Amino acid sequence: MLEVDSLSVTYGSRRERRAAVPAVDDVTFRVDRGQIVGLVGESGCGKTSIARAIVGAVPVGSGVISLDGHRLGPRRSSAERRRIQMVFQDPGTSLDPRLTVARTLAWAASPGLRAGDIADETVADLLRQVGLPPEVAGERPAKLSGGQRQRVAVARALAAEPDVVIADEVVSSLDVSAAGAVLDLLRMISTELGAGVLFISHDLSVVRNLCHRTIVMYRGQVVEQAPTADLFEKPGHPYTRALIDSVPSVERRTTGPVLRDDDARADDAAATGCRFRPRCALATHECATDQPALVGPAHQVRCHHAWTTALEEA
Amino acid sequence: MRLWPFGVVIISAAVAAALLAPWLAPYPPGEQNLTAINQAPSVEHWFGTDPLGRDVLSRMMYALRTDLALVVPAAGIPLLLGGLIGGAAAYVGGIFDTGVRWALDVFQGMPAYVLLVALVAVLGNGASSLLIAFTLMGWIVYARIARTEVRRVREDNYVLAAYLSGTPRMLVFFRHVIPNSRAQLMAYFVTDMGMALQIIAGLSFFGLGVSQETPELGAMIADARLYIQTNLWLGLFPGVALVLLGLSMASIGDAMRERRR
Repeated sequence: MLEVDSLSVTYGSRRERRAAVPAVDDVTFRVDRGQIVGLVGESGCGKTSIARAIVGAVPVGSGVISLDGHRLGPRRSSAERRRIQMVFQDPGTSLDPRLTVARTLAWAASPGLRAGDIADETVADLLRQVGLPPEVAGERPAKLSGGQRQRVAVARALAAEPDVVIADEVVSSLDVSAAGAVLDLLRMISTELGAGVLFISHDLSVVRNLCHRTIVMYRGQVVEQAPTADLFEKPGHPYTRALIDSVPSVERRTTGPVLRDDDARADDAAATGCRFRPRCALATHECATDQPALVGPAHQVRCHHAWTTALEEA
Repeated sequence: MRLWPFGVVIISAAVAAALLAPWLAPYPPGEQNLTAINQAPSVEHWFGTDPLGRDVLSRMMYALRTDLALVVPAAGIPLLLGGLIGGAAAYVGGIFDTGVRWALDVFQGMPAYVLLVALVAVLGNGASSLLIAFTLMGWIVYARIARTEVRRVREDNYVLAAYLSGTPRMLVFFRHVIPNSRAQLMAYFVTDMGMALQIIAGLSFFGLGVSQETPELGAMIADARLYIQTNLWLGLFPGVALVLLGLSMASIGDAMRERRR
């Protein structure tokens, strides 16, 4: 349904863009109806840029974003915009502080000038869907908790009856119980409403439990992409392994030191070879000269030494 | 110390006195009583009388009418114009924003007060030339504030969310961006009214403001300066009123600026 094909995003003025490293570099993936796709990676890796490019909030450098084969350009009609909704990381700025919940939802349900036509019924329905009591309708965001605000944000997204919901780090500022409730809502959106969900997160344990497919990004590129179970069973990219190993676990099986802490040199690596090379314990001569391609049918990995572990090497 | 509550009281009193002048003023503002000229404050004439025997209190109430009726549009028209231009520039961006930024830089370099006086001198006395001069010189600060505020607000996620809900961009601007940008503008508006009051009174003092026969605080002070040695009261009351009003507006403006949501 939602198809992102060879998407690149570069920031800066026209002159700066020519020299700059793209924030998003040749990213291809799709989100199908009823599917939850996880997008993981450390901060600054381009996750949010992808989200904002998909909704048309940042200009697409190259590549195509399409919904059911219908290409979405930079200027989108009202109806086109409504098909992809977004829920944001910071519940503090995601709701207009001056508006009551009812007004926010009514305007989201009917974006024209005639929001007065929206019945209280619709607002109450939306609140019920996200598990909030009807009294919340009269409140302004300042009176709500972070979890409640995030649920209102989900309700606002649902008001547009979207095909795709992009959830950008939606639980990272919430406590565990509020986070659980919001994650349940995302599941509900995919199963009951049949919408696709793009779940952006840096928290692998959440992604593992929630997502059907998982995409791992590093410095603007997809380094691994697979059905979630596959990815966690047999991670192919050393970066993915490092991420998985960094999640505290009871039955930890260590694969050796994969990640070198070497951020400073990482920037220089962009031009040639593998971007992950400066931090990779497996890096060889090949990694410095040839940029690995993303290969594989269902389980794709971008690495010359895919599925090689440091222990075997040694 | 919080001074703004006093400011609110003073402004409210001034506005009430101005609005209700026709009913509250003890004498008609132009009525001359040549048997009672240059009087000190008394029970009949609370603020005394002027050299033509006119009641100073009554004239002050009508002067407040004149001044407040000028001050609100003198700050309000630049507020609307500058706010809209600066806000729209920041919201739309691109060449429009670049152009507005240049215009702001050019106007910023001009000595506003000098030009204002010059403009009024060229355009002639009267309310309309005052308002034209204030608008030409005053919109710049409002445009600057609006530009800064809108650039901040337009990055808030609810703006993007409203756009994604299918709201037309223009409607997003008026529904979400403007209401959330206007706090600083309103704070400056109140401060600016105080400054406009001083400038209008100052221009009238020099005879550049409203026409001579209109009761106006600055003109009253100007008339009183000839009698400063014989009848101090004459200039004292309008002067104190002017200072209090200016301070009140400044204190309210400051309080509004410092209030964070």
